[in-house]
Amino acid sequence: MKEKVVKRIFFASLVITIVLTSMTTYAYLLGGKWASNISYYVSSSDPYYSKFNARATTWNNVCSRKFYQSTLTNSVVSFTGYDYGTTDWLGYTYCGPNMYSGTYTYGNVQINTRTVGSNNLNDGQLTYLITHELGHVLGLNDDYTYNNPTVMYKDLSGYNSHGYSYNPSQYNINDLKTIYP
Amino acid sequence: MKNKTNIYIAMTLILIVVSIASVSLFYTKSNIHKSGSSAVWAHQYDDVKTLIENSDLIISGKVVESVPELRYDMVFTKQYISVDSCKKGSVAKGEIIEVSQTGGEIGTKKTEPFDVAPLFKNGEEYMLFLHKAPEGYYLEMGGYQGTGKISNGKISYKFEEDKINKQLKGRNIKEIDELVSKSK
Repeated sequence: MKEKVVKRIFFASLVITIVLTSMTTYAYLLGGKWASNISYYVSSSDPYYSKFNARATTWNNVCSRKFYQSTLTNSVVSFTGYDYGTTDWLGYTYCGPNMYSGTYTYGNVQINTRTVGSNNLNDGQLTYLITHELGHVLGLNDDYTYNNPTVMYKDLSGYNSHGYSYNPSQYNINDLKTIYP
Repeated sequence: MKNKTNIYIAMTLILIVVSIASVSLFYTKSNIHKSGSSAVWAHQYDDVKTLIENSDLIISGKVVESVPELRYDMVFTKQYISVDSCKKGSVAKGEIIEVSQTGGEIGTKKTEPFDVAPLFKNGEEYMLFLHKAPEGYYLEMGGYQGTGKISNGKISYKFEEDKINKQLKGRNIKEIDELVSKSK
């Protein structure tokens, strides 16, 4: 009798373990990236409309996962430039993962026109900022060291003091290749 | 018979350990994906002296109220802090100041706070290096660099790899007082 109960518990545990390890494996293989090309929406009246489109094209040239422009209702990512009042950030990106796999299902990029204005960003700095945020959408994380030229440095000092280009560096492209082989 | 039962018990225990490891790995990985919530910061600081010099207000205090507010398509949270002691600036003990944080929830509208700058929790104590926005509220210096959580007199920082957080980590309130006095 006791053996029967123990056997049942064992098989139940086996099933649970198989399910959980499969989920983890799935998350490792597919998480932190997009399963297909990324449809985005940016309003034609947005102050950074041209810049958003141009930088999406820049990433498309070096990444196998592509951005393409779509309508508000059919897009999975939105790009917005707006006056959010004074903040300590210039740009904000969030990509929401599917709760089981971690694969991104939606996202948004916001650029604060107020902070961009009060910090007198020039065209090169604004380009670096927008390229950086779109890099997050693709799954790239912030860089916190100056070890490699990168468009993903956490603030504008990468561009300002270290002379990093506002275009994706080879280091960024290599990172993308590991996400989207 | 008893041997067989023991084998099943041992194997079940192993499976439980594997499941727990799997779940914790899954959640760690999920958090990494969530780190899509990121920023380019307007200002960051490399040393504590500069952080202090550029702060309008340095205080320790407790969060007494958190109020979310919608600004277009983003939610921000107004954090009301009751000041316990003021190290720089002129705010009296017991005075309430407003700190604006990115992130929060209003109804179905939600903005994820930055992973490195989580929302303050009501009733918790913080050591804050702040600068004043033209709108009247305060902002954390360096986005997250100027925020430490106080527990048992010690200050801990969320993002310990950061240069400033590394320098301030583990210091008590008296030590912060000394650092501020030195930089004056």
